[in-house]
Amino acid sequence: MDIVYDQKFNSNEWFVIITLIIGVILVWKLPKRFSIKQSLVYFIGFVFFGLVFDSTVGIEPFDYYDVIDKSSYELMDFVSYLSYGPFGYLFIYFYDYFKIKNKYNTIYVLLWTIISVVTEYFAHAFGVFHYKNGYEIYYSFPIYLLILMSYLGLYKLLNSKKANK
Amino acid sequence: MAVALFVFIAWVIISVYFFVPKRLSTEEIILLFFLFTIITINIFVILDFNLKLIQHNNKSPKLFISFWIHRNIIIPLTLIIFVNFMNNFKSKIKKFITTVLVFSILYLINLLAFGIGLLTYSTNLFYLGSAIFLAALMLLAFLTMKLVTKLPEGKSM
Repeated sequence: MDIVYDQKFNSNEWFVIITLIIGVILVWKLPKRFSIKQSLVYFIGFVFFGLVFDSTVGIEPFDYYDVIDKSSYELMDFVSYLSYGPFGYLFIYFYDYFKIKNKYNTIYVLLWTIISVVTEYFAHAFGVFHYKNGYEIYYSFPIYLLILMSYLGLYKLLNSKKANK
Repeated sequence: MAVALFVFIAWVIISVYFFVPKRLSTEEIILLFFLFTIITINIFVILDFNLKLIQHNNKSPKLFISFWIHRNIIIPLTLIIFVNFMNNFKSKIKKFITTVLVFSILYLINLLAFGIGLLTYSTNLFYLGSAIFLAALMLLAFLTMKLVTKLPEGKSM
């Protein structure tokens, strides 16, 4: 049985669309630092991680949350996953831009994990996420930590390949 | 049993991946893996939650782990191996044989997933439905690979 949270085009859809537009403009306007393919990896990668985690803990047997208006899958659900893309790109962009040294990786990842949790808090407040079955926002903390650490690993892998060429 | 079986299949697919000669760059392979997983998950979710044609077993965590391995590792990685072969071979016969072989492997793994109750099918067109689903995935994978390899190398975005 599908759960319907609301059926209007309201705050949750606007939150997703505005976040996506601001993110894409930022990605587009910032001075270029990566090749097209590398940029796409960093952009699509976060959509990938978001979708994998959401389609793991967001469906039965766990079913900890629903996205946007219904528990079934809608076009706006996919748009919400696309809005993760700029976030992943900017995470790597600023890491590369500020030439963060390895000893500061933990602090950098922790900082972005906090930013992620705060963003999720606002997304939840705007009705993008609907927590179920006892899920609390702080459960997302280790998930972001894991994703962002993996993302940094991905950046290091691609850079080591580039350096070896 | 189901988890062990699907971990083993995933291990075989991962091992094959490492032995396949690759003309695609690391960036292309990673990008394609992301895209194939996104496509696979989207198709599964639409078939499962919206159309209710193929449904995953939502009662047993063990079967869910197997389903997760099937959807997120076995299918996308098999598609990566497939597009690598398609990119390596010039001969149309070799490409055709590879397509039939990869399709057969994916089809058998899918049958196994249904056989052990990982997935359930709600129509009578079970065999045909599975074939269409996998053929569509392989076609999308091939087209995505063509698109990604045509991307320019320069700095942009």
